[in-house]
Amino acid sequence: MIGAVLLLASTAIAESDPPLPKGPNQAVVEETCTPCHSAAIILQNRMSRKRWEETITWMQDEQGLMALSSQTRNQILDYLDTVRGMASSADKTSPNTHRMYEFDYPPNPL
Amino acid sequence: MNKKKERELWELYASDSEKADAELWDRAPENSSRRSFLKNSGIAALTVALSTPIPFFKNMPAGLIPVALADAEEEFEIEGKHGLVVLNDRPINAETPPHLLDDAITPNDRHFVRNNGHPPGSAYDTDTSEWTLTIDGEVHRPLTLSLDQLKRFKHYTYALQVECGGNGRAGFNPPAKGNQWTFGAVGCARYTGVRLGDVLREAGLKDSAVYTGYYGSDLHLSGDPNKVTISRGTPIAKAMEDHTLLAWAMNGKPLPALHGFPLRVVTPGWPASTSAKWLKRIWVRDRVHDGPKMGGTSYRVPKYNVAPGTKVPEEDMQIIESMPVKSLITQPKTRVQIKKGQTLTVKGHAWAGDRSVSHLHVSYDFGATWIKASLKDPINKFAWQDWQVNVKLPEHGYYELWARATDSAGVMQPMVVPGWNPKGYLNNAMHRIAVTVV
Repeated sequence: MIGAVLLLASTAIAESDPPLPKGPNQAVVEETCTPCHSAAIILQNRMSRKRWEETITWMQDEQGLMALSSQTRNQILDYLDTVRGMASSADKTSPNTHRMYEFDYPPNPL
Repeated sequence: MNKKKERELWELYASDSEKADAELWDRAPENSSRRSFLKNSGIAALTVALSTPIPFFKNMPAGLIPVALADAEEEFEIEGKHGLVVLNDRPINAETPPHLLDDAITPNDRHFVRNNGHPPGSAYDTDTSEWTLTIDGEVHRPLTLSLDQLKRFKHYTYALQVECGGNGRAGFNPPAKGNQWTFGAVGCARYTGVRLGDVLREAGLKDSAVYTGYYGSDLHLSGDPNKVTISRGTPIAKAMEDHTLLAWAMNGKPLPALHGFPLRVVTPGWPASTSAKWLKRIWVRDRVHDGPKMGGTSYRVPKYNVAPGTKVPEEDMQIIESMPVKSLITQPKTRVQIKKGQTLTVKGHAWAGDRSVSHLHVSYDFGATWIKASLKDPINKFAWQDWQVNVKLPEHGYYELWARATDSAGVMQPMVVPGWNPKGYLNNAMHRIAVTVV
């Protein structure tokens, strides 16, 4: 059964068009990240670089992600910060996020 | 496509979604998986229907319709095949648009799906003669039961509401990490099974028993067979309640593969992660369970209110138990257009975790005034409650319809997104839909 899962994962990488938006080091992100989960969970989220880094560390600690060289790590973080950092316009590019409401009610600044 | 052919296709989807996909979209599953890969002609057809390329098509599981089709302004609907909104294709996470949750009892093909990992191969195997459930830990008589043995306990069928703890996460700002559920990670299906309490009594709980720990056979994303995807549980008191079931059937049919075939826990009114799927083992603990996704920030919220974006120390987080009061407008569909003078029938459901719902009100003037809806009792404890009200909108123009439930302790839904927390749980703010009077 594990064989089938890994076959599935490798088939998906080999055959799927890159679902990630264009960005620096995109290939590294695909190779490292999409064997386990699809790009969908990446695209749904928007975080600071620091929180993306914490998320990667959590995946290494708890979810079986392998050790990464600091170069690879920074390449991945550069990509995530560009396409899904707090300054990115994620709503416009993600096919999976959609606004919940017709109007937005921002928090009261007072 | 004539009505007869549509009907045949619907029945086909209900019994064999792979065959239905092949007939409609020329897509077929590959290898031993349940995924279907669109062949060239099917891609062309689907692309034309969407008017856009489909980046995820190769990962699209059989029988699910992508976001754009579910959301489409023009009604692209396969009659009888109801489109869940796919948040993630690997692992599969999909929610139901509110207008497709109109049924009093959520049908299997409209119930949301939440997965942390992949369903095991056994989820697709009709032979369950080898399946066993082990109950061990703080019990006098550890048990290993086959499904036949489990079924010798008295059977119960209840309509039970389950909601993802992260339903509503998409509403938080700053964004909270995780699948960005909006409104549709909730359902109320009929489950048939035995009372978990009856089985635990048979095993004989020791005085030291404090918490349950559930283990399923789903597969970790990393492919490591030794890694557990998720293992949560509840205090013994919740496990012993009459409506906490070990269930094998959903709406009279064996549990679908994605919903935990052949056996699952149903813990109604609590985060759906306590309703473990593909259940193999119940470990009765002498302490709060500490399996994966019990600790850290998983299914925990701060013990005190925090400003949005605060970093909260782990010792200040507490486990979510009962879900809070909430409601949903399932009719009409958002962005409906009606004529001036037309009476609008507004319908939906309401629920409140361990509590019941006492009142439901709607407003079409942004909360300035409220109209009381007629609210039914739940058909059994922990089922959601149906409500309905007729509304006449005064003038032409754009309106929002809001629904506000009040629970049996007098607690209402908040108007805006409440209590920011690091993982974006428990957003029970009112559901709002758009209505235009022309």
